[in-house]
Amino acid sequence: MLREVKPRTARTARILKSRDAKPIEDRKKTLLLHGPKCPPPLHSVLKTIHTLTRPHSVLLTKKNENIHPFENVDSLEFLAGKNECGLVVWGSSSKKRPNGVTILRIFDGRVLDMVELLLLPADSGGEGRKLPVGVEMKPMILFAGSVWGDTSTSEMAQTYSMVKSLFLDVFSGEEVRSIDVEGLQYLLMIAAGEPENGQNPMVHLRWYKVRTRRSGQKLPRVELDEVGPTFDFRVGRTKEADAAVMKEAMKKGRGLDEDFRSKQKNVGMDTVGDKVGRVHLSRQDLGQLQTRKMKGLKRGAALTGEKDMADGMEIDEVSEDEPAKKPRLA
Amino acid sequence: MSEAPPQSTLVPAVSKPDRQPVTVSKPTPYTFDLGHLLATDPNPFPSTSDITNRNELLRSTARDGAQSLLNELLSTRPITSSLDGLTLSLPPTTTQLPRWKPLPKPKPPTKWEAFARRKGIGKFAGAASGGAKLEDRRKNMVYDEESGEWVKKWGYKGKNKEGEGNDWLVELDEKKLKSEEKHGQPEGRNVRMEGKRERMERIRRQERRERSNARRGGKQART
Repeated sequence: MLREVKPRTARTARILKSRDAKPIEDRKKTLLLHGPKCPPPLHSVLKTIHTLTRPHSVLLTKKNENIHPFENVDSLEFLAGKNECGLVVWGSSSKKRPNGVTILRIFDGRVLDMVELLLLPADSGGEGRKLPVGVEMKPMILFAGSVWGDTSTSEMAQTYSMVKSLFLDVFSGEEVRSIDVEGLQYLLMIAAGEPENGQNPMVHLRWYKVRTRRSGQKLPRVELDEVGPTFDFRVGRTKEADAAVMKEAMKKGRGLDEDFRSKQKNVGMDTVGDKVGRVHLSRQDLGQLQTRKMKGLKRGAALTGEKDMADGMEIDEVSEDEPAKKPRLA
Repeated sequence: MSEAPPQSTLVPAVSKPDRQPVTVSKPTPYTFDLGHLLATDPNPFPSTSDITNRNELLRSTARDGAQSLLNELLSTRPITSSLDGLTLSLPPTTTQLPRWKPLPKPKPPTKWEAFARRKGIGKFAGAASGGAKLEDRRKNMVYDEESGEWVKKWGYKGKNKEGEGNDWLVELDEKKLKSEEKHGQPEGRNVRMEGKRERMERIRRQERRERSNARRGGKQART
């Protein structure tokens, strides 16, 4: 941020505190904005992403001059900081790169990585179709194509793994522990063809509404209806994250793993259901014991009603004709 | 889009063969990350440069993918049924996404915290010190013996402001009287407001300590 704001009221202190880093983060907000030229296809990309990520996104309507992400990211970093967004989708169109969508990720106030995707002229199938997706619905996501599963270190594999990670960040939604079966309503498919002639394959985004039908078996038969727009992108310039910065960004806090917390050494349950643990004591030096204060050890300290007892500490002669054996005092 | 005819619900399960299979088999199997409801189909997608077949190919791949994802979800995840419907529990995600802000650095302990940790006081006392007792201490309600009601401990009309200037009778403190006789009473002090003065003094002392802790702890303790 620009200047260090010192809180003067409890309210502003609370607001500043909410902006601090949290161990487990909330869902990232997306900032959508465009440059001087924003033709309808480009605008539909921005609008679609805004509809799908609402209310965790901010769509700015004014045009922004002089922003070129691959030359200077300062203004985008500033805008993302002001709007508290972790993702920026920048749309710009020029003669050289028409209908370009650049997706950037922010970490620690700086750009982490970015990818430029150039929209290709779409077939008219998707024009004017609505996206019947409710607010905060979680999409099912499918990545199709060998390029997404490629774990080699080739440049193309790294580019596409970054693209995959970015798409996941934008579209995947809130991380939930459980979901209603009714909520599995739509599917986003991101398909990439095979690389031909060493060229990066095109990326196709499609949205489908899922319908299930009875199949006479336990699992239902899935049918799809195409909804919403269709986008076909060509992958353009990329900026990969610095390895050290990425490592920092991928750090997980301690104690977030539930297994780590619940696994307590030395404590267990026995068969009855009692909590059982072992207490480890160090070796006791019996020679140093203060036996003078232990009244039971004194010779003449036999209690009334009891016969001479064998004492634990002192080695005494036990009379042989003792009728019953008294338990030895430990 | 052509609508497939809905199947009749009276279909005998045994004799009729599936016209539409429910499982999907591919040369390379799918990989799943159910925490994100994500499926990856690593099978090579045929060339997409020509537009004619493209949408159909995309749709059929999508259908297969959706089918296998739903199969995976419904067969491997535990389902609980409640009044609202069926709920699936999802596992934690396997694909990790980078954070937005760096991990918060742990704050250095305040002087009291270090002392309490050493002595085992308060929240460091052990297994018995949390739970109900801790909750009680946090709540704002205290049982007032005299009125027989629950009053607020602090805040507007809280019990900690009981004696301050609103009682018609103010008891004099014996010890304070003696010290006043010895040293002489400071000018312009009203005995009524003694309680309020003490509370304000405590608040100021606490703020002083907090500032000193903030200075020691650095900017992390700023809010």
